[in-house]
Amino acid sequence: MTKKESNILLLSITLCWAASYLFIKNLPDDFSSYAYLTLTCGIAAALMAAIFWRQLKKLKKSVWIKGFLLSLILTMNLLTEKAGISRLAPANASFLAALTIILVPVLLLFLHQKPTRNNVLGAFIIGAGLCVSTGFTVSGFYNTGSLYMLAGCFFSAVYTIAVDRYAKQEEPVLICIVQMFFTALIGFILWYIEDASTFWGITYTRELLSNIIILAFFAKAYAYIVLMFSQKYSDAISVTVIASTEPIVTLGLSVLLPAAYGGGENVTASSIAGALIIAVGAIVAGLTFLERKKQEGERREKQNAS
Amino acid sequence: MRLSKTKQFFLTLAAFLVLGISFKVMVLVEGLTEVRPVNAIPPAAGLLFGPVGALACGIGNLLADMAGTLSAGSVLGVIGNFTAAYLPYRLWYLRSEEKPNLHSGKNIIKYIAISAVSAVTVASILFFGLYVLQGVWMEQIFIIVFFNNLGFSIGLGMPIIIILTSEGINVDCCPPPGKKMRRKNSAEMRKK
Repeated sequence: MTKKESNILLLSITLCWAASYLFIKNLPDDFSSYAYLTLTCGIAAALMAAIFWRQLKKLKKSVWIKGFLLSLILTMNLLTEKAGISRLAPANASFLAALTIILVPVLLLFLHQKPTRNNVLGAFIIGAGLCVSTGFTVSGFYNTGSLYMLAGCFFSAVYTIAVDRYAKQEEPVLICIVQMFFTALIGFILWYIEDASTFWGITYTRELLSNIIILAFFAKAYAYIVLMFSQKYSDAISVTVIASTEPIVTLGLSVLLPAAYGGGENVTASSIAGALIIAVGAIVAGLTFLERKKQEGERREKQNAS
Repeated sequence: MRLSKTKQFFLTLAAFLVLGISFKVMVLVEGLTEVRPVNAIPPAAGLLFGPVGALACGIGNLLADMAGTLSAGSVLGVIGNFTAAYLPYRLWYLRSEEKPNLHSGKNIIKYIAISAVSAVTVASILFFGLYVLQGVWMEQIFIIVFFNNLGFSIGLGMPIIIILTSEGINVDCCPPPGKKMRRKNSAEMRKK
């Protein structure tokens, strides 16, 4: 797989995750988030196991352990984000959630992986774009919601880095299936604690089933398989940079989709300006001109010294 | 990965049905069309499986229509989806015999151009077909079908092709049109 192909795959995941909000919005208001986690991840795990059943024979202890660890990080990410979103204004919550773009390079420093100059500059431009597109204001951050969101952001960054490592060590498809299985299991346990009637407490309608199947298929099965697949050929920072272009995709969807399906909303001058700044940041992060400049400078210094 | 024609047919059909029926809830024009991520399948199925994939798309669309939108217009859906798969297959091999893949920038541009031509063709079939069959003249139908086809062919069709042509899976593509025939002919010639 070439770098271009890997980037296209990562962009398609961003598209899936941006579009998934439309379907989550269509779920009933009283629908438990644990039920959502159990059903979508459970269906996704079953679907992936059915498609890749031949590969299941290759399951080994290390895959189970890594898959379980990923599911724990993912669940913690989802739960802390949920707690944060309920306590903060949407603009502040989405701004804090997007700080992963800064956290991933910082965490990578602890693992002795230095981001390139372009990565750092790109991350800051994207950060600025996010401030503009989310209508960021300094007020409204002084509550526990911010802490939850930052924790969610931390887990999201850890997840990206962990996937980057594990996808290169093990079979990506198998890790993904195990991860989905454990996430569904953890979700089910939490759902059972919240409401013991679990599956029997839901009123199943055609619309609900459609939304759940679509989310399970795209936001879970497809997105996570492709994420694991492409991270085998990419690095954690590229993944985060492409994921941060979500506001651009959301803007595109809101222009293309009719209002009944979540389109036609939030297209403001600030969201367009923010999307443009993010696009510039993503391009800067993906290029290498600053690195080349640095190398040229070093070469000149060596020549002068000699 | 080598798949028999039967497997190619049923794999495409199953994917078409799952996606086609799930999205019936996102109706754009009542009784006619909806948000259709399933439109990502015809170009991929056509490029990789050729006429078999195209046939599966046509039949798949008819079966999906049976879940609530079956009408005389479904005939157009069959023709449209068959074309959406078969046309990219013919266009890809128009100037070269390189197997469909998106490894290079040139091939990505080629795929996008083919998707655009295919989307215009399908939109025209449905737009004018509806007028001929049912006397319906709705300009928005053309726009909706065009963007539905082009958007999903690029947004989802490209990733599908990338995955199916990656080293791990590497689906054995349908040969260029007439290629098999030429092989047989040359074998016969050699025999003679």
